[in-house]
Amino acid sequence: MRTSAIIHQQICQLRWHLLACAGLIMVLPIEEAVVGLWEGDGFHSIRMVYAVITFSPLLAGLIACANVQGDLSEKRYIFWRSKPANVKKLMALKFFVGLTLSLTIVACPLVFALVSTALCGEDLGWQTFKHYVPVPIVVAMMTYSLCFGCNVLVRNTARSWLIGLFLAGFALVIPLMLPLGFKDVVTDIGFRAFGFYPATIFVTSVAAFVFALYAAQHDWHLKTNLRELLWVGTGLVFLLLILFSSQVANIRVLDEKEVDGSRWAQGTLDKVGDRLIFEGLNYVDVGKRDISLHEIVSNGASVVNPPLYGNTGMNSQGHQVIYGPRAKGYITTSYPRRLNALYMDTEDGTYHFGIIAYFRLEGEGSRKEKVHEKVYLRSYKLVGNSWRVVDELNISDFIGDRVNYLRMAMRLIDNTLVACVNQSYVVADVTDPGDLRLIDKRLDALKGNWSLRHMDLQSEFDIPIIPVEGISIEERIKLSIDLRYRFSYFRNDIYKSSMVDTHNGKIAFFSVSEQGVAWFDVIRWDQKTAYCKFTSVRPFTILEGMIWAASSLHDRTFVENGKLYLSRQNTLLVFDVRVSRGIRKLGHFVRMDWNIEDIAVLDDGNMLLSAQWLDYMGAGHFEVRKRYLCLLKNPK
Amino acid sequence: MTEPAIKIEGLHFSYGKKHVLKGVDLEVPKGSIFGFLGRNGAGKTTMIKTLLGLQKPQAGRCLVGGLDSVTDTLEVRRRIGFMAEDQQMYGWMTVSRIIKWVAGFYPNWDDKFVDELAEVLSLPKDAKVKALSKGQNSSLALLLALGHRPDIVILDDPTLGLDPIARKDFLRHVIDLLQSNGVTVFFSSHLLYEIEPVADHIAILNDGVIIKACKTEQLRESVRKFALTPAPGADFSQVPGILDALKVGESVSIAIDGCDPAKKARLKEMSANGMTETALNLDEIFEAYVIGNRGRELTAH
Repeated sequence: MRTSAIIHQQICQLRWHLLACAGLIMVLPIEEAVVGLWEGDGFHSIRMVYAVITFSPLLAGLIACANVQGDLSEKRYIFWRSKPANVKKLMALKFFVGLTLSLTIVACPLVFALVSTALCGEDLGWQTFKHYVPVPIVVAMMTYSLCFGCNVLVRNTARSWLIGLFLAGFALVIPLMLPLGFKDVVTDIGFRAFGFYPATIFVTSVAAFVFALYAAQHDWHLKTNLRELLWVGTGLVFLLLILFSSQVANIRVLDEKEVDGSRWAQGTLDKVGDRLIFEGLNYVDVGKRDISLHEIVSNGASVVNPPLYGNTGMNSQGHQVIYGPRAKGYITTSYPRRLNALYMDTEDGTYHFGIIAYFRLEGEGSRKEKVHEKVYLRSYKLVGNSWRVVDELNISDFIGDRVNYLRMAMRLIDNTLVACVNQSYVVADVTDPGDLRLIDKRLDALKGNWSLRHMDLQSEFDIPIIPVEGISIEERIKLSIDLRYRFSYFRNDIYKSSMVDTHNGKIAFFSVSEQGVAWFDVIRWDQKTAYCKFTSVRPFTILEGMIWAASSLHDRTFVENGKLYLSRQNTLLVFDVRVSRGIRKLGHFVRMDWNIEDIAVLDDGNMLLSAQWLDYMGAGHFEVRKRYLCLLKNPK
Repeated sequence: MTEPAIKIEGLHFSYGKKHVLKGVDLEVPKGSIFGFLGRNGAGKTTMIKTLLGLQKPQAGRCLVGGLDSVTDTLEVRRRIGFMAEDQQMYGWMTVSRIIKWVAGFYPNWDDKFVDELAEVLSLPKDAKVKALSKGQNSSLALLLALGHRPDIVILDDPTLGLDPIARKDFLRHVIDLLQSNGVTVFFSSHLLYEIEPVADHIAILNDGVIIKACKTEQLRESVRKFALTPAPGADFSQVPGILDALKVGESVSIAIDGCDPAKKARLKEMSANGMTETALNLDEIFEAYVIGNRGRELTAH
């Protein structure tokens, strides 16, 4: 087989198509350049080059279809097939000649832009050029391969072009549509989400190419008609819709209740014994498949304008009482955000503990900074259906300088409470939660690197252990990890929140970033240092990544019964983390206009979710319009 | 015994549920001009495609010069020169360009021979293929099939679409060129008068099976037609090899395969007042084989 003869044949066979495509792709850049010259800006083109490059996959597909169409009509096919030609080699040669010609056509406007801007002394915008141009070119290569494969099979230029374009679109959309992706099947493969598109494009292109060779070799021929194609196309669109709907919400909603937004300040859920308290002095009854809301009635009248958690309570006359400095313009942050994190049941009743910090916003306009001034360790008692502050320790001197960011961690071991703020810790005896007693207090006890770095992934790293006396080393390790990683809201940090617990017999923690969920195990320790090892990562799919990119303080990360629950803004994800070899996604729930505030896993396995619906008021300001409680089926 | 140029054994092929070849067995002797007859749709082209390795048979095999067409496809195609019915080539190429293009596939392409052929066939080398007449197109296809001096030439209805004069011209060229070179020619057609003057062997394919394969002369000798008036009580079912029988008034006309003195004597006994014997041309023989009623008309009476 003479290669030069085949190349010559291909170029001659495609000459009119190439001329037409070159004309199509160059007309707009030349028009832009001519207009620029007319207006005195010089003969150069940039914007239109971007525009036409965007459409280059269409032209590449057209060239692919024209490439072998001339060889595939039945009688001509027999003519050259009856010669001793190696079909695969011949087709591969034709494929690459066509691909080279397609890329040459696509390169025309790029070269024109480079040369014309250089000659006119204009700025090409190299950064944008460098980042934008490869994308349509790679997509064009995939479209070319698909159209080539379709043409070999369908043997009709127009139909194979349309089918090829449709498949290319499908291949590009499919990574967005997969609810339980490839990553859930092969969890050990730790490639990142951004690698998914190149992988899809590469695999699709190679598959289409190999398929084309086999189809030509075995003379596979798919007879099509327009009606059948329409049906298949419609079927695929439906498939996409089904995939999309299962991606958006494959967790089943059992019941949903809208709650008057003005009656709850925050949507935190507390599970105390067999009762579920929905913050704001109301409570919720949850059946197997439905929810009932109960309003707290005090002295025969319902409570209006319920108080904010932690700062307020009710006196014996049912009047609202406001504690703390909120009335003076302070805003709170608290730890733990969920009330049920640190509970203590005594004969006297149910208590919980929390760190409450107060900050002011200082500065002008959009440059306001959050400045923390006061921090309290508080104990609360459950009275009726509300939590009432019963005692507090002022630990404001832990802040040191006025800072805009606080790192907090807390652990309750028997009757000893350890609370950390920034680099200090306090140990309190909480035998009587109504009377907190300070046992130990140390400032600047913790030093070292706070955040998890890229390099920690797939490697071992160590964490200095908080030198608290009187508690076990395991608890100290958990406290150290908690303090270090739970609320690391640093920009450019990979992991922004994490939780720590004993998991599969090991101390483990899970960290969440915009890229995915990572699992780390503590593999050994001594008195000063704990050594951690990366176990597994589950990168987010592109759609998950897009949702996760919108960071929020309301995110929740916790492990319960071998399942990892993640929520941020409008999304809840549930992962299976029972098997040590990886993290597998079980379910996905999204409500685009919701802001999820809290999740509680109920005794029967179902999930209760509280959310708010925010209305944009302009100038970056949102107002809570509605609140929702939603009962969800826990995916298995 | 010399190895046949083409040997086909128990060949079966189906297009989906349509069983086209139902166990074809055939041997084409070396150096013969082999006429392959069959009605349209009988499976001639399907068998040739299988022979060239363009499709894989469901059962059986084709040997070309001792090589299996499925496992040694490329070598088989190197040995064969093939010209398809109504062959379509690249219209935008010139004659010289398409010759160059096809030459690239054969290591043993004979440029000198091709030039001579082009001269004999009066092919304008600078003309575009799409500008050639039908006759010239067939001549070009023949040239492209012969340029590598193949051992075997397969012609699948090569004169389809040509007018009678062009057809005659074309066949004259084919025979002149091929007979002198000792090439085996496998000539498939449904036009019997085309094959009759040139073929030394004949095979008839009907409904996916070879119903007759022998030397042309032998075929002519063995098939005879008899006209007679049947004697009362004549039982024609006793006569083997009846291909066709036609009753016209009191007399019948019977075409018999494998005609020998015993069969003739038998027929004579059944005749009331003697009979006449005539030889058949290939057209009539083919008709008797393919659409003959096998004497059912007589048996019914």
